[in-house]
Amino acid sequence: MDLIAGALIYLHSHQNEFGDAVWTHLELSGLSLLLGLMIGIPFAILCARHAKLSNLIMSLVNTFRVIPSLAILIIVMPLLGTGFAPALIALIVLACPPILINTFIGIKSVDQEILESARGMGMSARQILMKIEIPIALPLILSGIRTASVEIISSATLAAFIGGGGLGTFIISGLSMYNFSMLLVGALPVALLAILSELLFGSIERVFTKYKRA
Amino acid sequence: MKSNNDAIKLEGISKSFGTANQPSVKKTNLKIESGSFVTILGASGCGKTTLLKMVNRLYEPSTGKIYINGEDVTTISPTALRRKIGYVIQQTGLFQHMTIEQNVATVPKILGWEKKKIDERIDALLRLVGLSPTDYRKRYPRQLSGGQQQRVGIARAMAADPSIMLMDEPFGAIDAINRNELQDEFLRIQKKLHKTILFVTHDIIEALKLGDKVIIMNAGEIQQFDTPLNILKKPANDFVRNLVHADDLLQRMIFVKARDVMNHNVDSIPVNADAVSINELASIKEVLLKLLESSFDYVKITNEKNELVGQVTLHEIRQV
Repeated sequence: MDLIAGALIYLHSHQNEFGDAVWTHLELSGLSLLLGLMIGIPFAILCARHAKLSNLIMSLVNTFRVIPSLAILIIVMPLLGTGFAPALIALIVLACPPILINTFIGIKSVDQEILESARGMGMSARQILMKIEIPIALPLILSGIRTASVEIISSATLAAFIGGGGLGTFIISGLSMYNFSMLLVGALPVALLAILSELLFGSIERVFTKYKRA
Repeated sequence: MKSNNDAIKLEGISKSFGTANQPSVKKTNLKIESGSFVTILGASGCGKTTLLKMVNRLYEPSTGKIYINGEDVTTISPTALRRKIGYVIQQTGLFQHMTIEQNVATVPKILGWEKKKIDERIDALLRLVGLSPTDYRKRYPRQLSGGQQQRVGIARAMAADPSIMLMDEPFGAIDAINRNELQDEFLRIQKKLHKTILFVTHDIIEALKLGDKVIIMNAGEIQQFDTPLNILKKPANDFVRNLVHADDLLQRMIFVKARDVMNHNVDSIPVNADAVSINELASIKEVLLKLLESSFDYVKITNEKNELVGQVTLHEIRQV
């Protein structure tokens, strides 16, 4: 109980720093998710069209996937230095694999008969992509986004290691100063944010899969 | 000479796929008259689906030219061409994430129809295929049975009122009872709409029952293209003879329709209200059964409007 009380006291006396940290955390997470989508989805569509390219990109992505988030953050540091930008890039690298892989699988799993009848009815490649493939792949794409967002929010904590700011700052300071109340001020909101994003994307997913349960 | 009556014309069409050493479809010439219902019968791998898919350019022929209503199909973009041709496949290919009304509205929407016109069209089409618009418009494909899904598939293909329909084993995945019902209803629809239909099937009964004319294919070649009656009476070769069991009289009686053999001379029919009558599309087998049950020596043949169009006696049945 003392820990929580201590955390609340610390929070009360550092409202501005906390606000800034939350904002930086959200900015880092949101921006990297957005850029991850802008990179991941077009590449996934490209992969779904070209078998050779998909082999190359998918094996590359799967390699990236096994590298721990902290390692990626540390790897970008010598290359890009410290601060917000390298943290952002590291998080984009983390966000891409689940989005790319899920979108790719989602588009690939559209039934051949559906594609054949769409073509046979005279839909253009673009119409088939926008009206058939993406909507049918959407549940999988959304679950990829959900995975990516949870991963980003928790990994954004580590951005503090390379001076990227965010809620991780409290955790790192708390750890080094043996101040567990301070640590909680960082850790609890991160956990809360991760849960909230999980819930948010989960419910968006349910809206778009209504036709499967009707 | 170019005949405007040919809805579909194939000139020296053949198709070979990449590594295969035999062409899938060998050099073929074919003319499909406008408004006729033509079935293509053959075993799997005989080239019947390949032939069909060249008409709407899902496959491009290796040689030859295809004309739709006198127009060379290669002069029209594939998408524009396909929007003018109805296309139905066995697995229905309904868009599972869209409601029935959205499915049916696909082509009209692409063509930019007004919303009101699309709405009316959906209602009319669903009624045409025997589905109540109020019950089915807002449902999703997976909430429907296989037979109902294919009804929607047919409605969707007819949405922009194409004059030509290509159908690739549309009833192939449907159980026998529902298939029969769908075939009968589809014949009824066709009698009303007079579309030019090219209908692929591997079911002999279906091919002979539905087609005004039947194309029999084997090993990439058309073996015979004729009316069901002529295919049964004068099979072009042993392949056709064996396929349709042409020597089996009872088999023949199932496929020959009253219309095909009846005496058209309406004036010579004795006027007798008690004499039994049957629709012109009934099989000779059904006519014979009526005749055996009846105390008259003839059966009156009527059309859809219940008008007298001919008669059948034992004399006509013997000609089968």
